[in-house]
Amino acid sequence: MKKVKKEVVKPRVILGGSSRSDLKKEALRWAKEAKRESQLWRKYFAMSK
Amino acid sequence: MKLTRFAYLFILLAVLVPWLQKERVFRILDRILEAPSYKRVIKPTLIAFPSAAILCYQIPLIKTHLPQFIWTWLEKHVILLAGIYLLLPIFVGLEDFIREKARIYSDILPPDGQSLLLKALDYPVLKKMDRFLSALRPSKLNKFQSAGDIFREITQPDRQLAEIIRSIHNFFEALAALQNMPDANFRTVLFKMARKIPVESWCCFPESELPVQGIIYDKTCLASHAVKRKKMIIIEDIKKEKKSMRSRVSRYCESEEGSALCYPIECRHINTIPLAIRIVSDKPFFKSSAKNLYEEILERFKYRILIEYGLSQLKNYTREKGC
Repeated sequence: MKKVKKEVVKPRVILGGSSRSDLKKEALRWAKEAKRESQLWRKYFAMSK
Repeated sequence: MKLTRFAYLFILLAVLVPWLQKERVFRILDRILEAPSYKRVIKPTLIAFPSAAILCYQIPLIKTHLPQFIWTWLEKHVILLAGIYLLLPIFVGLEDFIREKARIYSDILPPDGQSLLLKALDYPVLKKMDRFLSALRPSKLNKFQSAGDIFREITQPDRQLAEIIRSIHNFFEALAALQNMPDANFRTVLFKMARKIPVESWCCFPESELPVQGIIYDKTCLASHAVKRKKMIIIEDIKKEKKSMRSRVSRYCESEEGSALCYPIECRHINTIPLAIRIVSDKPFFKSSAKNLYEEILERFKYRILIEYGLSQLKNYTREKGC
């Protein structure tokens, strides 16, 4: 059966470099860094108590 | 007799747990685990109790000074000590499990989520900083003819607004990863709204998955509903919502499943809602119980979005006027 191609809306802005894999990679890096940073904050607060 | 008591307890729990909903049960248990009385008194006592009891039992000086009934009770229930010893590692594992689960249902941003929010707020600022500072390069500076040229080069509100939305998209992807849902895939679209319907897709992420044409000018889509209500809408189960008589999901989004959130961005200064963000996760990520949390998060971005939107509109105005 022939697949019907859906019409899509072109957005006003296309930044580039924002494919699913790019975004996923970036988000996982953010999550990793956030985890590390929050551990540092926790250590800092534990030290200052 | 004891077995019957356990059976009764089991039946009671089996009835109570679904009634309370696992979400609430985990949140209550997590609250107990986080209570100072548990952390400072109950947990250390439980951990120290078996070793302390054996130690006291072995030292005659302590043994003679403590009331005799304690020792008779302990001798009678020595299996209890062994049981606590054996159960301790299981108990610690259970504690971790409850904490992990409760985080998924939590309506409070965890500490790593707060660091993540800071990162997400910084990201568009860094992009703007890059643009501003790269304009200082001599090769670029020589090209500027007027103040207007510089202004146009450094302020690119349409692009900056897209960077903010990309940051929001990344924030939720990363938050899902922190909540042990790294497989959740998100789709974020910023709609320009006019007369309470989406008239344009400003930007979307991932950029390879563009929204369908039908959603533009669709009065029945989620963005239209959110703007009409002037409130954030959360759909926990898109499939279930589609089946309902008063579905708030557009008929053009037939392949979508999972959960969705739509946040209208209101501008009180001109008394309109010019934009709406729609985020869809293919997994049940968005929870109505965390609505306040999502609002708190998106409000931080809202101010930044409105600044860029205002700048974009002013730029268009000056272009039209030929300034």
